[in-house]
Amino acid sequence: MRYTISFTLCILALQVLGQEKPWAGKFEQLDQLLPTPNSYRSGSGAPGPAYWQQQADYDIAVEINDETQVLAGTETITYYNRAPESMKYLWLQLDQNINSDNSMTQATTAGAIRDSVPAKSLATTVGALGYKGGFTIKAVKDAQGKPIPFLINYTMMRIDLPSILKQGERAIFSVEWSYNINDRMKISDRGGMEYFPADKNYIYTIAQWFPRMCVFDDYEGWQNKQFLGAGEFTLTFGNYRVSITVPADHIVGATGWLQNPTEVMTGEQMDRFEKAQKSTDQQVWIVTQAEALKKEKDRSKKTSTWKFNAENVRDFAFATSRKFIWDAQAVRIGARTVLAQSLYSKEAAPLWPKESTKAVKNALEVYSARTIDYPYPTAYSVNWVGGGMEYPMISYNGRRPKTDGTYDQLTLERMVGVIVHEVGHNWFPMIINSDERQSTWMDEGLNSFLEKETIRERYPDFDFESNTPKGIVTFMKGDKSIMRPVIASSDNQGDDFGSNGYNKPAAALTLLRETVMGPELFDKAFQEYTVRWAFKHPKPADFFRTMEDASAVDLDWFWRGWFFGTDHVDLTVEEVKWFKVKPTSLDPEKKKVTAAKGDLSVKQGQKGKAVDFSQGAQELSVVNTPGTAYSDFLSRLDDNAIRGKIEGKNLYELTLRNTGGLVSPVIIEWTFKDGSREIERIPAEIWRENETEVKKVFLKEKEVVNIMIDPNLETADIDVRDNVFPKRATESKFDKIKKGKN
Amino acid sequence: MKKLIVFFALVSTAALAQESTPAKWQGKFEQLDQLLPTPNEYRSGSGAPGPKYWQQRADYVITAELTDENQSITGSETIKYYNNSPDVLTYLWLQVDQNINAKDNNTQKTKITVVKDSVDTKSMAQNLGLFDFDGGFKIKAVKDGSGKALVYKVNYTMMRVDLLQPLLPGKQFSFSVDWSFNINNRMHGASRNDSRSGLEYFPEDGNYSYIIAQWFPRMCVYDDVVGWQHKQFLGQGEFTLAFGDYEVNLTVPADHIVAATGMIQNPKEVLTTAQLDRFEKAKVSFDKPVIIATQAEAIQREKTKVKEKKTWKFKAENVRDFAFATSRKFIWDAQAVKIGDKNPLAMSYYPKEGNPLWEQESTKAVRAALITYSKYTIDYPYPHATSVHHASIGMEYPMICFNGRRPNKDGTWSDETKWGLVGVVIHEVGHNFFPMIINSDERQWTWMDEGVNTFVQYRTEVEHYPTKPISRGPAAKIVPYMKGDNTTKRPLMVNSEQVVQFGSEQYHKCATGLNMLRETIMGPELFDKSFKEYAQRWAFRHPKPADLFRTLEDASAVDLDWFWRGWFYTTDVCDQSIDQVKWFKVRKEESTIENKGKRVKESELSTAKGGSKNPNDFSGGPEPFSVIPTDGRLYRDFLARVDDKALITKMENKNFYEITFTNKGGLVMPVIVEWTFKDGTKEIERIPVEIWRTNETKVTKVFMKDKEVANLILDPQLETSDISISDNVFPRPAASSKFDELKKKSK
Repeated sequence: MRYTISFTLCILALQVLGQEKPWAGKFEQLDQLLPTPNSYRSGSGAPGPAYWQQQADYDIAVEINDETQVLAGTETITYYNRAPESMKYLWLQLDQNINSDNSMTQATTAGAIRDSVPAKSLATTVGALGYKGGFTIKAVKDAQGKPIPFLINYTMMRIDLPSILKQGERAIFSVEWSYNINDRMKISDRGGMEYFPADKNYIYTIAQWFPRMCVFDDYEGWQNKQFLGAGEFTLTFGNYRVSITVPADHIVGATGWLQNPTEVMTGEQMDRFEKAQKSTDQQVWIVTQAEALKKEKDRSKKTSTWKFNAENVRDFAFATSRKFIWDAQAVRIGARTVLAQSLYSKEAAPLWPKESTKAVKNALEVYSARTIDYPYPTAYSVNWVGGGMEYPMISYNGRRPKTDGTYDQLTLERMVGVIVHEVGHNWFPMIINSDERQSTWMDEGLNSFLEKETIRERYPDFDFESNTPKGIVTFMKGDKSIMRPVIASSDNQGDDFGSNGYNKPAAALTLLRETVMGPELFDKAFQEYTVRWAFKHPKPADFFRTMEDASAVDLDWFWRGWFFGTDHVDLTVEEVKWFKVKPTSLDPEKKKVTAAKGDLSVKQGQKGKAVDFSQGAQELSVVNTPGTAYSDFLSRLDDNAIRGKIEGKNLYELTLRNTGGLVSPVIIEWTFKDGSREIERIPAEIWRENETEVKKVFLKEKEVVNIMIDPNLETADIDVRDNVFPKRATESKFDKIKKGKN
Repeated sequence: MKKLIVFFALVSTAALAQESTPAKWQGKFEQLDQLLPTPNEYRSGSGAPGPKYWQQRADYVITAELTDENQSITGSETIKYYNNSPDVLTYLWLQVDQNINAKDNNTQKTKITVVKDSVDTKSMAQNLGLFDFDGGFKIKAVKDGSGKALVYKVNYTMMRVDLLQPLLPGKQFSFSVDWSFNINNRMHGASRNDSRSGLEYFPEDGNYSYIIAQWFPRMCVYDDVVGWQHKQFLGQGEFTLAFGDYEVNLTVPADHIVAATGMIQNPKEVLTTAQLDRFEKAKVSFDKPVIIATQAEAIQREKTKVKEKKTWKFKAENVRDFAFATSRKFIWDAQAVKIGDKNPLAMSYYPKEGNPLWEQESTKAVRAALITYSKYTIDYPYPHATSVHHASIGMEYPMICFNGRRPNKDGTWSDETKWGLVGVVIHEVGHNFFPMIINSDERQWTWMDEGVNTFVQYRTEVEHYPTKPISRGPAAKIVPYMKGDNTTKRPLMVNSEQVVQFGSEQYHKCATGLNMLRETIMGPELFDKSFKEYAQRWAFRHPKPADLFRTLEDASAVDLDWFWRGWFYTTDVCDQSIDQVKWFKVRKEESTIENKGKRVKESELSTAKGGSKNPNDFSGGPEPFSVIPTDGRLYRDFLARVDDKALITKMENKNFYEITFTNKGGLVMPVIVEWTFKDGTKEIERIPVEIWRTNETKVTKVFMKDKEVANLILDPQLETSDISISDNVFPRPAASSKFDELKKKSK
């Protein structure tokens, strides 16, 4: 437009002020910060027309020796090459090798000596716990049983294929392996076992227990970045058939659906199991506490084999113990019912029977509503010690009551939180299958957000602040020189892992939903992302692009600030000026009389910046529009009518500073003399021309006594003391007095 | 996973306090992501050519005559250009490289020059362009297949030919160019901006030796990344060329011997019967070269100087260029080399001035290069590899290269001359692989051929010439450069023309980087497998840097983004140091279960911190610290317990060393520690570079050792290019610093 100038000169429009900080392009499009869209991944954020992904089917037979705590297995992997290229070699993940003697994690872990160090801690640091971990690979063979050459590089194993695997072909090969199961009391891995000295029994929570295919995709080729401990797993979809041989008195919970219940359950258990599948209103106990206690004592020496099938999952985990109490109930999801199940030992009762399956149900319902309907037949929650860990259809969750069976509110909240969270992981990353090794926030952050939504909806009295803007303030205040952005690699996050992987992205999404986009646009777009990428492998850009594509909200500034940057929100009310328009009736003839240029500011300068409204309003003249302002237009405004609209009203000119750097919507709460309030919400685009300081004029009928920015703490503003006008002087006076006395 | 602090506590620093040393985080371990182009259907994320990878092709039929009397070439070529791209082309670009020697050339104009006293005439003439040489192509005609003239426009070293009709994907277009040019005298050196080819005049016998290259208008590369690669030829960034088949007829004085890209098609017409016999013999001689044209014959030809002409006919398949050498002075030897199921010829051409050094060393070096390069990359696919002698040069073309180094007049030579010859022959023959076969873009990325080639040259020298002094390869050799002037340093990832320290960076630093990857970071097995994978994937194709970076990771499962970032994208240097060493032993009386409650005060321990008696050596003895039974709270809900007593017993007589390493140089590198124990035994501990991943500048780590340590050295075998090793030692060598003081005083 040609006549921009006449617009910006308009008294009520934004004044471009001298910016001390160089323009940082905070509203620029992300462009080359994101990968260029192509035929695999579209500019809309959807999978592209040539999108492809690999598949790996597993047929596994595994046995746990309860006497030696050794796991031994054989797997046959059918690998489908859907990539539009030929493959000479395949990569598998040998995650157990993180516990090998030559573990890269151990070798690269920092530490220091301090006095009075607990023996276990010191032994952990110097690797003196005496655990022999890591996979023993006994054989890798092709479909004909011929050995295939392989090469192990820490936690990765390369198999050189006997012949080139072309697009559309599949490779079949088998691996035979074993490893010593770690005692999680000593080596707190994501899987392992727990020993109960009182009854001398074990609970096994088994994971990363078989050599698993790496992901080969369009963006990375092979994602064979080493497993160092923080960056989790990147896995391909496939179908599993798994036979698990364990002591005959064990109960097994696993990814997938049990295929041979009659072979492993008593008739009574079978009946209860059938009943549970139809019980949508309450849990049914398939194994009772009394039954579990009896087994703890009897300790069968026989074995039995549990067979599970799982379709279209990215991993397989299982838990087994004779100590397990087992309850289940059906949950309606769309037209299907899903079995919510819990496994726990008597040590977790009575908290677990009461809360676990219920929490599973709540997660299944809320996540299904916000994303896609839960597609799997079951979801287990298994009790262990520690935090929580997720696998398809099964998760391991911590928190137990005290030995006397009592528990406090915090224990309850943490337990429900962890179960909702881990069950929620079925969506992120099990179904919306992001690359955990690289981007923790894509599963943990999105999942923490929905965890919070679930808690807010189903457990409104619980504390869920840590995943909200208010909760992230402390982190955002941290030292920026060492702070990582959310987008940084999982293994490089260091101390920021928890905040950047979980809370900051969850808080950011909360801010998006509640403040920037509004629930309707956000929920639609978020759901679109999950629909597009369910059973696929999304990358960060696919999420960023979809959220914009489906909402028409330009969020590049938001991703730039919250995900690519380490700036924080800190708005400051720099100055408030209060004006009243001089009644024209006093001087209707003197059309040409205007306040001399600079007149107002001189006045203001004499008095200094107003600290409150006590100086009263300044007078302001509104003159008739000069003919030149009409350009070539021949018609004219009714000057008096317009003046009449504002005469006697209050004009407030606010100067706002973006002290923190991160641009933010501006939420203003006006409190009027009569005690009434008004909240005005200004989009973040107010900062698009001047990223540091803006002025804006507001017209109010009533006199304002108080102005507050971000009154409901929605924006993660790290310092709200300067968000208020008049400044709250009482506090500082009090401080002065205190200082004076000291 | 549910984030819970306890989880990390156990995997990482346990309950031990990690000293916090905040330093600006620079993301040195971040993935390269958008520093690399996004993979697409042309180039895969794995680093392999994508499913829709394509490349253009240009076949040439050339007839040319070299006139010895006025040292000029006149030629005519028919180019058949294959548009394999998915794009419609309306014009083609050709390279007219000789124009760098035209009167009007940008290289001379943009050359930076200064006046200094007592400057020699040659330098002055070079700087001011005083040599009276009429260089550059004279384009006589550009015509389509039916003889119709095509519109063309010459832009310095590039020529655009406008097509009469758009060239559709999958179609071919044939056209011809007639041209001529005067051959430059290479003795004038840099006066002419490209002395990669030209003539050498021998005043004693009045004859010329010609090495001829960039001698015909050549197709530019059109590819998926840059479209037409027609960045001007300024002299430093070399050539970017498409593959094709060549039929070349060269007319030269009848007593000339011609060496060229491709195989001779009419040996009977140009060779004597004796030469023919010897040539056949050479093809089956695997143990030593056979001399096909002898020195005596050459000397005879030098004198007779016939006026007649002969035409030598060559054919070459799937090459990216064509060069030749011709002279009546040439001696010629050849032998066969077994490479897989092929027996390519290793050949050498040289005037008597190169002997007897050349007949002893040249073909032998060609053979060594073919064997080693084939092992590390792909089997040499061409029928011969030829080394031609010219003064002061090393320049590569497919199957043929031009190499310098000459004995003294009396036929003797120094070791330096011999090793110089061996080195240059291996290097230039090696260029057959990089960039002639693994056909990278030389105009843009010098390191992709020169650096990678220098690395395999080093492997060849190590494997075939173990006594040869090595100048480029081992990390220690790059240290003087890394320590040097920062103002002229450029990252490897810059365009050739902007490089100042050309040899130190694009050749040496790149080669050193690859050697560090092989020897220290990846290990030979993983490196060799993935390096070979790169060569196999990109043989007879056009790789880009990302294709190399990605392939080396994809085939090895070693995340190298930190390495590419540091070594290729920055000029950071490696300078690690042992900042602090603390020696601890478990305080026995405190560590019993009975004394559970008794804690040592922090102040007691802190005597060792900073204000210790002897922070610079071990003379203060070990600092005692207490190991206490594990507090119940550390077990959370676990009911099982570790055997504290057993653990304490296990550790109570051990030595604990808490070492603080700093990364002063900025470049992250693995930490290699050599422990020397009191009993004289040694142990080398290799800590992967990932130790720096959360604190890029300073890390502290605890080591438990059975024996007492007498000293420790970082990077004892100089593998990491650490620019300052004096701070790599503990105890600090006090003696040497005293010595330094004395030295200073004596000055």
